[in-house]
Amino acid sequence: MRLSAFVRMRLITHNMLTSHVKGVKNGYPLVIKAEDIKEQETDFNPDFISRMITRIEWPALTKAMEMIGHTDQLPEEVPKDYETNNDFLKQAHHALMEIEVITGSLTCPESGREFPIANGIPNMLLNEDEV
Amino acid sequence: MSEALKKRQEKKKRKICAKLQAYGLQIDCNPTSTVVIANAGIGNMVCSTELTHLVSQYGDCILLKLDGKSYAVVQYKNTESAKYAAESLEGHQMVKQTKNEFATFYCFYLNNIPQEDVIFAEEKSDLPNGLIKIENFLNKEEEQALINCIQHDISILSNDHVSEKLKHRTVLHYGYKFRYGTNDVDINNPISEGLPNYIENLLDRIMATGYLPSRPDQLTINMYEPGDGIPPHTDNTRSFDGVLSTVSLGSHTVMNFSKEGAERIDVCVEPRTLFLFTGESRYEWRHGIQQRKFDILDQGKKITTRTIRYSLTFRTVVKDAGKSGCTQKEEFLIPENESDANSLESSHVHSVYDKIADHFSSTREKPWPHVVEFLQSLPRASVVLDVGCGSGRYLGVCQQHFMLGCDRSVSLINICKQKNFPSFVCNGLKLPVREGSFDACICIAVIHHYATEKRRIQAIKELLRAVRIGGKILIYAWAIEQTCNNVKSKYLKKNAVTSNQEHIESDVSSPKDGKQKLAVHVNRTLFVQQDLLVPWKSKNVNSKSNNSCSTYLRYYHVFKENELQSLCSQITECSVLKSYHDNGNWCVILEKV
Repeated sequence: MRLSAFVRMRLITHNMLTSHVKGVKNGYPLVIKAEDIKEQETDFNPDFISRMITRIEWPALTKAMEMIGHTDQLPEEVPKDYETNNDFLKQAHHALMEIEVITGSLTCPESGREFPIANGIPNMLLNEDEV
Repeated sequence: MSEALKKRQEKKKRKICAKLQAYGLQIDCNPTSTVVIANAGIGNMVCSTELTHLVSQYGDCILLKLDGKSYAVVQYKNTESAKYAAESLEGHQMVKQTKNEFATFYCFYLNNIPQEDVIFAEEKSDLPNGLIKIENFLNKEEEQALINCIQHDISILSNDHVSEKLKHRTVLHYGYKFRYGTNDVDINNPISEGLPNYIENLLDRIMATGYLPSRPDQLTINMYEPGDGIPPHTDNTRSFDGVLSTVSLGSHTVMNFSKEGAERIDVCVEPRTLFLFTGESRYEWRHGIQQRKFDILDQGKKITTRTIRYSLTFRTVVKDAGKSGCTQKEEFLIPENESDANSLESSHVHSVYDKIADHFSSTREKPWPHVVEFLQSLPRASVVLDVGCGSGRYLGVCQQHFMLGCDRSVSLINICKQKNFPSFVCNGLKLPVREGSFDACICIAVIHHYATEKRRIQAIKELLRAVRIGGKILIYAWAIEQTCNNVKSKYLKKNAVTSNQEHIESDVSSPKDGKQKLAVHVNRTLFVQQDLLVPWKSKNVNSKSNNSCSTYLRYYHVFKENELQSLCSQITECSVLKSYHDNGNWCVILEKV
């Protein structure tokens, strides 16, 4: 029997998140410290991924992959033919949708403020003095 | 096994799995060292000694006791034993204790040991509202050391003015002497020695729980011999501060909580447990202990003889009688500054959602058609942020998009995660997302929870910041007008009885000291003012007793016609594409320009 698997923080979510601590000018991308990572296959939809490529910050994704120890898996730049380059789209799909951080933290690159990730959920709540 | 039977069983197992997940358990499809056995709880009338015996046949394990639940959790030393146990116990039938029936076991794996707060929250539902129970607050050595000190004090202080042999127990007072005639203390007459040194460590630890507003300065130690008790009472709210804490040593006992119109709740008091009486349990419930020599525990299955029990009750004496630490009925004013708004949202929005999350989620499953329509109107594969996504009602309705949810409530986000939806926790006043990263945002039934106009505008600004230029935003907020073109909203329609408008009018507050009070709304009736507290009657799905119904007040600012539009028009870079009324809500579709 197949029980539902849990979605943890995927790298696509990381790509959207930024530090919002008061006074921070450049809080992007957040530094990932991963204690527990899970890779899980999900359905590959080339159209969806090629659309996502236009919506994400590519350098932040390659950096995120490095931060969790998956080096040299992605090209430094998005290839020009990305829409039709199936191999590339598969790599991007894997990076964006299939790698999940279960436990760890996200750290603001400027202030050093750490946001915990527990059970795959990033907790981005700020204290009153940080708003 | 026949195919049909197999199918039926699989269906049943899926159902049970969903139920366990609803309890907050995180079921893993791969074997782990923690096994949860459905139908093996004390709530299923399964004998825990027999169960312990059974589960330990498969390897070293601890039976995590989950009283009254319909499941048991067993922690094995390793995954192999857990797998062996789960496979062997699947479908196992155990005779129930009281009836001529079998309990059929279904086994699952947990991907972590249930967090304290998961079990804690469940147990809380069996306690009066506001009562916080922390078991094993002390270890046995610390307990014995304290008992030794107390016994010493009793021997030297007996017949002293601070010790009394009451009719049904012996008491010692520190800090201030408790006056039983008036149930208070004489604030002008403190006992010079103050609190005994040997409780300082314990007191530090109680303070560290964060529940006490100030360090207690009065301590009453009660010694109960078998057969002793204390009549039902509520501790004086004029003389003592808002939170009471009590630590129990020695014997177990059972404390009875009673409240008018509510069924009695019996709370088992294990030794070394800390109880914090906050909120309703402090003001509205009476607590007492029956004069008995034994107690019946575990729903009639276990009889335990009482021995000597010591209880340490810590109180903070209110020094300024005019500024009492607590009032019976709190009065809420419409906040005028950020700090008041912040604390109102924290107490009457955030903490309420955290408490009602499960029940709330079960009532918010059906998506609203016009919201779905909006999502479907977006170009394929849009990146959409749902701000205040709750339990994820809209996160799964449009598979063609990438939907990301966020909410202030950790409990609600936990439910999203169980449903497989990507989400994170944050406050909508400050979204932790990069500017322009989304194609669209939805914010459904959220901004009516912000307590000042400034904050409501701030929330809309944040939505605009999150989307790219040309990006669309859909906002829904509750309307004061619950009828549109003479059609009643669903909210009003659900009211079976015709509302007595006169009665409600009389509830409307008059300005007090120039400040406007928040009205407590009568559900399913017309709104009488814009800023109000709306009761949420929470049914506890997990408990069988009728008494598990509690009311929480949520803060709302209901919107007037054109109000939402006019907020948006104050923001540059925002163009209102459409503004409409949908079933008791005011709605706008915005575009970032």
